[in-house]
Amino acid sequence: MSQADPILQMRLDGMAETMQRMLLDTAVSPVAREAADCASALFTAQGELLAMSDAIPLLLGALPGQITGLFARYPSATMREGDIFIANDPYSGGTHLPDIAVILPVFAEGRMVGLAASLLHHQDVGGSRPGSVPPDADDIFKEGLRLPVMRAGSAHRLSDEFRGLIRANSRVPETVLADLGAQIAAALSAARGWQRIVDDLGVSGFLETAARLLDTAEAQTMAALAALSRPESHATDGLDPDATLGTSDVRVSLTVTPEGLRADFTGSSPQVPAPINCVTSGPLSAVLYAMLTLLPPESLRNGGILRCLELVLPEASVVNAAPPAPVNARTNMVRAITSTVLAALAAMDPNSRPAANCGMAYVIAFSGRGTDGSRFLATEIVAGGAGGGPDAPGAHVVSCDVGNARNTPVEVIEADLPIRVLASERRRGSGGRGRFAGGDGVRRIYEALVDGISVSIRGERFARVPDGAAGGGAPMPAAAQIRRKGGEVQVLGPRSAIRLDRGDRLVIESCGGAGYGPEADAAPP
Amino acid sequence: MTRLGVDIGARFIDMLGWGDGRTRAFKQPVSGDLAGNVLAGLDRLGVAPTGIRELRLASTGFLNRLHDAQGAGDGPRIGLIATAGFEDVAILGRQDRVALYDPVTRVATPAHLIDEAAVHGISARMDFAGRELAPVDPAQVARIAGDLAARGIKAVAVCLLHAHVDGRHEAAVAEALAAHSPGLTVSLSHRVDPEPREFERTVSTVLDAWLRITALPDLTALQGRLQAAGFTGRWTWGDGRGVLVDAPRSLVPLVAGGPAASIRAAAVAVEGDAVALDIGSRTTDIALIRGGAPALTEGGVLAGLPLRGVRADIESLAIGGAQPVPGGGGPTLDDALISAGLIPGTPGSAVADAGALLSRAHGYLAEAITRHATSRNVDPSRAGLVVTGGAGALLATGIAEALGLASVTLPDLPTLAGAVGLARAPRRSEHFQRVDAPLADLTAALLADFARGSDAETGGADATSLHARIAPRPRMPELDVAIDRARPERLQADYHAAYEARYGIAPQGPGHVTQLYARHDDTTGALGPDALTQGDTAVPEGWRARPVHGGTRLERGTA
Repeated sequence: MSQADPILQMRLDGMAETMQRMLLDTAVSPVAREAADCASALFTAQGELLAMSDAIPLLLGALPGQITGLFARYPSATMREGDIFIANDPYSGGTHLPDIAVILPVFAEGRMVGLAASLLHHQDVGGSRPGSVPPDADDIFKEGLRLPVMRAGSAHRLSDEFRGLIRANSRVPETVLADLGAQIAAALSAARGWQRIVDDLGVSGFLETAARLLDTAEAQTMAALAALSRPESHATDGLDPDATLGTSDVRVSLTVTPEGLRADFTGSSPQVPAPINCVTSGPLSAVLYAMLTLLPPESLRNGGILRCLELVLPEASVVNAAPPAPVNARTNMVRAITSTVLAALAAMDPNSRPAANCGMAYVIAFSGRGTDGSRFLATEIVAGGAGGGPDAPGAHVVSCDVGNARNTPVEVIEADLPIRVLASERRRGSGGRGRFAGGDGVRRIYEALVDGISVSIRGERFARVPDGAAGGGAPMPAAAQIRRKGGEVQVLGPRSAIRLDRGDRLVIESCGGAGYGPEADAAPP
Repeated sequence: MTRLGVDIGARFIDMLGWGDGRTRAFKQPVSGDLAGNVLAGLDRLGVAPTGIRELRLASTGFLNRLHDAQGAGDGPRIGLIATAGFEDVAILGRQDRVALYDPVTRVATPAHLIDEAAVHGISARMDFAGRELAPVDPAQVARIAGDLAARGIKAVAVCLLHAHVDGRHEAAVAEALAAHSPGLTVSLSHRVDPEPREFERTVSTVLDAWLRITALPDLTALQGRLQAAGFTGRWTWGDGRGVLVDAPRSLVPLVAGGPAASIRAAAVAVEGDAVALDIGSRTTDIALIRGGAPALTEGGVLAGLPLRGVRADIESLAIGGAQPVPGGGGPTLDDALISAGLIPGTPGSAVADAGALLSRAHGYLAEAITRHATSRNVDPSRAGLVVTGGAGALLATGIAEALGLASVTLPDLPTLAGAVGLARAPRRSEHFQRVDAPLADLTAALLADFARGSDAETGGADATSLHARIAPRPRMPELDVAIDRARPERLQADYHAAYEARYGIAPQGPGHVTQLYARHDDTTGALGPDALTQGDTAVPEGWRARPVHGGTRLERGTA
């Protein structure tokens, strides 16, 4: 690899990171600017991943599928400078409907040199419940507006027709349009950076160097796979058993082959008529993240890694749903897939790895009308604990593995919503015991200040929790309940749609991380 | 009368005197008593405390103590008083992690500075608008004061929800604590960092309280010793923006004061964008220079802590004279330089191939520079490189070669860059007014009132600039926008123009003002750019030296 190669990768990484900062600076909805539920990446003109921002891996891994979906509908020869492509369809590369991808082709010297793309969780795209994440959906049609990839604008401006589509379908159209504007601005910042690179290297020089970057990452990935201590491993995990749906298992077999890593999910459960299924972007995100954890920090992070990955996904399963299965609560399925893949990988990695992370996050959408009658709608993401070990206790209340969403500050929640937060505290003892204890989850208590607040809650690990590692203990499961103003207590399941009236309190508790090593070996406090 | 710049590092105190017709500098080794070291250095400079008109001080001690505290289990810890139910705010952080692809999840919080058993919640509560929901219970605070005293706690941070809107409860807590524990150091969040978001404000407040009992006492003792010896001059602090301030309301801005002063010195010797590298004994700091001043940031992680507040955008690397060369198997950078015959001394560890070890250090630093610059959209091959610090002059050309650069700049007195930067920095006075109102509500009359009040505070309209911090909507990120005194009614249009210039789109909302502030930079007494000479610069083979404004440029080629 020439001297210029790593520098070009760093410049591209810097451009992706600049896109991400633009999103956080200019997005309007709290779930984007506070929780950072968005991601940015650059792609080659052929659709290979070129650079990623430091964002939520769960979203980063979803962007390659969006680009594949784009090229399937619009060959590159049909793309023009200034085009804006938009998509959110899970069944053509997306994730779930609130995650809208904005993709801009980048041109230099009259030639397409790549694509700048971002994915952002939008506040509402219609459907049966505010926030577009209905926990009771039994098909995708109840989840909101489905956008197959489309040319939604030209000359770097959304068309009036597309704006009209959003205005007709979203409960908060101006917020959605403002956040789409942030995504377009972010892509344009990348286009400006790209122009500077082309000015330095020329189009041909850039393309040749970019090709070498991909080849290098591929070689680095193959080397990391060759260094694994075992060529094969299997693991099983899954979601909480459900009285109606039964058990939703994730099974994976990882095998190192001459071509790279095969991740075979055969044996995973069939899809269910509940929104816990995920589409191909889920396993792709999970396995890509797992592979990235194998690579030394100085490795190049681009699509060369994906060249080494073969996914085998059973059709119409919880890991590869077929339409019209609902998918809005897919986050915890992707977490379960990640936990499964990491468990399998731990048995192959010669380096010690920590015990299992909590493998869950709450995604909570609040909506209703404030005391002045104005509509409010906000989503927050609440983490659990990290796995303990291999040489220290696990971190408390932290977005692990494929997550990296931030919490929403209580001062922001209380200023934006008619809700008072009564507590946000470490749920002590919820991490698994061990020589190195798992990190604890959190307990958050919300009190409604007005009547009629709709709350959509999506959680997991209410019953099925990970085992500890090397003799460590399992964590406490997650839990949620409503304490009505009159004293009645209503225990909630992992996926609930509820109404809070003034004085009612919602209590959520997240799962801890698993413990590592026998507790008897723990150092005295 | 002499003006004095004093930059306190881990191994040396760099001192520069000027203003009395002559300029002189000295590097005083650090050993034991800090005040004694400074007085000894003054003696070597031939400056009596009675003859000091102004003392400008920065210390890397703030930063070094924070580096030391990372991973140390037995360092000093402070107490924390929070709103009941939110005692874990410092542990919970923002729930994001620092290294995305490290299988072990690591977080950046100030938990290691806090005694977990000295964290207390109080029942007092404000709502988001500053309306009192529950008052401060003095008896509850008194019990907490007793607990803190029993645990031997010397300092406590108080951070209550919504205190940035109304600090009455925190002030009442401080009053009650003072009544029971007069010697307790108390930091209040609404004074240290009066901005929303409880975790970020807690970090600032914890840090302020912790530094007051760890890094500040030595400096306070120094001040006392100097005063006892007859010093009656002005005492100013170098802060993290590379400017001087009189009495900061918080110590947090001083954390990066030493590195920022070095960058200020480096900035004099380069034109346009440049990367500044300051190689110290404990750490090496990288920062960008834009427009002749340190590039600034308002966030990011420093010494393992997510710090809020405007400061030079510094990245601190664990490489320095006394640190092992990364990947070099144990010997320090100084060991390599000694073995290569570049500095005198005896290496602490044997070095088999000094040239290879130095090449490794050059490569490591070149890669770090590239990563820092490119992540900020600056191409290091186009920007200048300016190097300072104890070993800076010795490593500069090697780093430049590793970066593929044809030149590198050394500012005047590069080994005393911090002291030089202090000498060249402006003194800044500021006046703040919290607003929290729609931009449309800011009338020309209101702005005129603010201008009059600010001018009285900061020294007159001629040299005082006025600014507004404006977000598109409440709680979105803000931009600083200059207020045109002659046409304050243009503020809205100026905000739109500034936003579009920064982001390429119109503001995503009508505009919401959170703060007005006035700023007055005074360069009276500052050291001029031509007041120093480079001195002898060792020029490696294959390079030639060319004097430039404020320093020397080393260029590839023979003389």
